[in-house]
Amino acid sequence: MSANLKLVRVVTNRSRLMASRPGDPTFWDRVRTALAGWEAELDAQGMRMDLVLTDELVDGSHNAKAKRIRQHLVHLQEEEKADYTLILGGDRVVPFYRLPDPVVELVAEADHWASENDRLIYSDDPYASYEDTYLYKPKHPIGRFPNGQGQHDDLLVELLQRSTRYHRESWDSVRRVAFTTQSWQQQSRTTWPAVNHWYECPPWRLPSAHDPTPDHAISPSLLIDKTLHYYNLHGQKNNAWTGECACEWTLDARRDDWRFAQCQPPALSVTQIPTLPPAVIFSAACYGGFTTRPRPTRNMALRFLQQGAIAFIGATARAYTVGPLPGQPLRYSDLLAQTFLQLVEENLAASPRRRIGEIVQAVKNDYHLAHRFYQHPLDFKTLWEFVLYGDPTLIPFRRVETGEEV
Amino acid sequence: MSPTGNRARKNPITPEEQERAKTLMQKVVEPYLKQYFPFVDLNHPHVRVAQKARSRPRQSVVTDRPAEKPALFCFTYASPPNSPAKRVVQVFVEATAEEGKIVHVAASK
Repeated sequence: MSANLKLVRVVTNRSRLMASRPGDPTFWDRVRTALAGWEAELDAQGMRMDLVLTDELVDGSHNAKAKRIRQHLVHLQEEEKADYTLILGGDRVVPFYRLPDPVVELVAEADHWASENDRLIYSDDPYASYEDTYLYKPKHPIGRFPNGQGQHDDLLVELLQRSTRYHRESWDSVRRVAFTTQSWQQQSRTTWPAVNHWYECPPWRLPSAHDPTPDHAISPSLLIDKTLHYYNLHGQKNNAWTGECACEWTLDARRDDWRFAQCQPPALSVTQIPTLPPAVIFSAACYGGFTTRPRPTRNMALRFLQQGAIAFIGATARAYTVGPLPGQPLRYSDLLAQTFLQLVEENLAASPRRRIGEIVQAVKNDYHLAHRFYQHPLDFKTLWEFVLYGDPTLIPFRRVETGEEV
Repeated sequence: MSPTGNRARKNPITPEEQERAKTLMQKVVEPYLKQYFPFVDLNHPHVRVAQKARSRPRQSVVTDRPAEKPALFCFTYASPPNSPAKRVVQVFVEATAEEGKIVHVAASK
C-alpha cells in the first residue's frame, strides 16, 4: 500500500531547532504536533512523510555539514525514492549547500571585485540532485520552511499550520500586484503581460527623510489583499528593496545623499508589508531570498512569510538582468520570473493542477533546456540561487467546493 | 569543478588579444557604459576572452559560406568600492574585422 503513495522527505535537525529557541523546552513538541497535522493532510492526498533527522551529521563547518547531509540523502534516495523534499529550519538548522560563485572565479585575480561579488552561493537544489555534477538539477521539487530566531518567533510552527490549512481549504482568487524599477519597466512588462498596472519606482516610492510626502506614495494598502506578487526591484542584504531611475544615475549622485535617494528611492521595506492572504511571492531582487539573518523584522523574505505568504521564491545571492540592447531576449532572473508567472497563470485552468514545487522545478528545467548548448556562468548562478520557501506539495490557488477540486 | 574556471585559466589572454581588447574597450564598451551604466568604475575593468577566434575559416555545410568565428571578449565592470549600491556589469563584445559589436550585456540587480 505505502509503496504507491508519493514520498515527502522532511529533513531537519532537532537539536539545532531547539537551540534556536533557548528556554522553550516545548518547541520540538509543538513542531511535532504541527507536523502530525500536516502529515494527516498529506495522507488524505495520497502522500506519506518520512522524517529525516540530521543531528548526527553536523560536525564541522556549514559546508562540511551540508555535504554530509547531501551524502545521507543520496544514500536514502538509493534505498527509496522521494518525490518531494521539505527542509525544516533555516541555515543554522539545515545549512544551505554552498556552491562556489562561478562569476567570482572569473575575476578572482582582482581584489577590487571581492566586495562586489558573492564568494559562495547558497542553494537547496543539491539536496534534491543525486548525481555528482556541477549542474545540480533537482530530480524532484524541494522547498524549505525557515525558522525565525528569537523567543517569540514561532514562524516554523505557523508555516506548518498554515500549509496544513491550505491543503484543506480553498485559496483566494488571484489578485496580482507587480513592482518594477523604472529602468527595467520594459523587461518587466514582457515578463508578466497579464498585469496592466505596474508600480514603477520612481515615481512610486516610500516616504523617506528626503521626501516625506511623495506624490506617488507606496503604502501597505497596495498589497493588503493581493495573492500573486512580483517584485523586480533592487535588493541588498538589508531590510528594504529599492527602485532605480537610469536618467539620474550618475557617479556624482552617490556622493550626494539627497540625489542618490532620488536615483534609487526606497520601494518596499519590512515595515510596509501588511498581513496578507495566502500569497505567492516571486522576488527577482538581489538577495531577495537571503535569509541567513533570521529575524523577520529585518528580512524581507521572512517578513512576507510571517505576514501570511504561502510561498516565497527569491535569490540567495546577486541576481542579474540583461542590459539595454536591441533584440536582446530575456535571460537570468527575468526569464525565470517569466516562466514561473506563466506557469502559475496556466495552472489556474489546468487539470490536474501542478503543485508549487513542481512549478519551480519546471521553471528551472525549462531554463536548462533553453540554454543547453551554452551556459554562461551567470546561468548557473541564476539556477542555483533561486530557492523556494514554502511547502512544495501545495497546489496554489486551488478552490475546494463541497470536497471536490474545481 | 566549476563550469568555467579551468577554461579561463587554460586560455589566458595573449598580448595581441590584450591590445585588441584595449581598442574595443575605448571604442565600443566605454561609450556604451557611459550611456547606460554611468555609475560603474571605468578605471578597473576586468577583461577575459570568452571565445577564441577560429584561425582558419571552416566551410559551412549548410550555408556553403565560410563559417568564421570571431573572438568574443568579456569586459566586467563594477561600481566603485564602498558605494551604497553595489552593481556588476558584464559586456560581451564580438571582435569583428573593423570594430566590435556588443552581443550581450548582463547587469546585476
